Amino acid sequence: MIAEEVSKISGENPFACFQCGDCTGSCPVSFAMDYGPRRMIHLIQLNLEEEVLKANTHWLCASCYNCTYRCPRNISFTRISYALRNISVKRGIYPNKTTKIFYEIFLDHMLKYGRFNEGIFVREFVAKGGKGLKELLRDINLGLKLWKKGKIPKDVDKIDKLDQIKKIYEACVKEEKEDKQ
Amino acid sequence: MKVGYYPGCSLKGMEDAYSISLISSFKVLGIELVEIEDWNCCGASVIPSYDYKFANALAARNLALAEEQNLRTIIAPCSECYNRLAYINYKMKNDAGYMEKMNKILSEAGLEYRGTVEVKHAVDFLVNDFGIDKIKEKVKNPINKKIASYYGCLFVRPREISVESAENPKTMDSLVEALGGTPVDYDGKTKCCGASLVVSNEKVGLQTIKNVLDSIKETEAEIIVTSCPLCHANLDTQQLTIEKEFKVNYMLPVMYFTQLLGLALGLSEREVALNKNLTYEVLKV
Repeated sequence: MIAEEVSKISGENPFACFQCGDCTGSCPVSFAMDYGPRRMIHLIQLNLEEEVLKANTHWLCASCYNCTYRCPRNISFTRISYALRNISVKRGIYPNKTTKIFYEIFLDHMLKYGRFNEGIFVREFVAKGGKGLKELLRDINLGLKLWKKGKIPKDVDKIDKLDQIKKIYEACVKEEKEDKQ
Repeated sequence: MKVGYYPGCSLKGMEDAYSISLISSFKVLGIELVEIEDWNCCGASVIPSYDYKFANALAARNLALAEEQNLRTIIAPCSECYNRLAYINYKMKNDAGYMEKMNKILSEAGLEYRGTVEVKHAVDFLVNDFGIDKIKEKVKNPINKKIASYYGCLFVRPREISVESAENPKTMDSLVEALGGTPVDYDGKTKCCGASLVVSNEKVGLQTIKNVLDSIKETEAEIIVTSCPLCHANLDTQQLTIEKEFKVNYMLPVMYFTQLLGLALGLSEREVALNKNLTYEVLKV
């Protein structure tokens, strides 16, 4: 059941929601969402998994915590969004190719360097087709300006105890497997 | 005065102007920053989207390192880093069961966190701990301009780690005033710039940034000051893209609060890396 899964990951209780709509009214991205946060929580309460995971809502959440700050029932839709993304990613569901590429590179950097390396990211993101041709052409000038200002970092900033990151990651993956059994 | 320092990836990368100006201006005030050795990425908003538990454990590793290195207070200048570290710190300190769970994961890497570290945002530390009066004493070049402080989200939300009211914050405005500027009031102070949406969904991301710029454009602000590298990159770097895409004209110079601070304390533009801002050319100080 999707409601239960969401609660488990996020620690939030979607059933506490009484549908006041403060969240949707406060959301800076609701204009572009299939359902606003209030309707999404309602769908979760009804366990309508397919509708929930098909929506673009949780992918557009910018994690600003405005909904969380104003919720009279102390629910964080931001954290619910994170949980919905966790569930989606594990099933291989992404809203678009760009997000998939962005996320995969980020996780790769985390495990390979222990840090996010912006310079390498830009190169990998473009090489993997993260940007459309139109946007690429538009951004050539911007890229030149950034380069002139020395805003494109060159060195890989790798941490010393990378094995600790790997062990932490493995511990989390292991716990998740044990939870499922 | 020494204080622990968690720079985060952005300040070591494209937004190094923030760390350059932070270090140089804090030095003038007599604050020495001690970087946490071997810190890792806080996970930003991407790792929690992948695996919420892993992201939280990553934040906890940084806290454990700070504790191990005897750093009682650490400042995080990036609001995203601040948010991740401060929230996990809050959770671990206030929920014994959670502390135990996190430590179980950390122990796999030979680490432990006992909850002795305090995480502060750089603005909060400067204004509320160091103190406005001490800053005022050192101002050499008052910045006589109308200045819009842009707070963004993660410095004031969620409630557990909020530095002050998210509806009408004043911390940066009080700093602006101390540096000789006139704070402008506007309703977009804590309106979200969309964070990394500009990467994952550019169309929506550019719109959210535009909403913030529009709300500042309505005021008579001559400078925008920021306290987060993501907000800064969005308002500064993306301003040019938005002008092109939406056929609008802002000409709003953006700088970090640490750059404004450094200039007021008598540092040169070079010492605060002012020319690294893309909107530098429209700035007339």
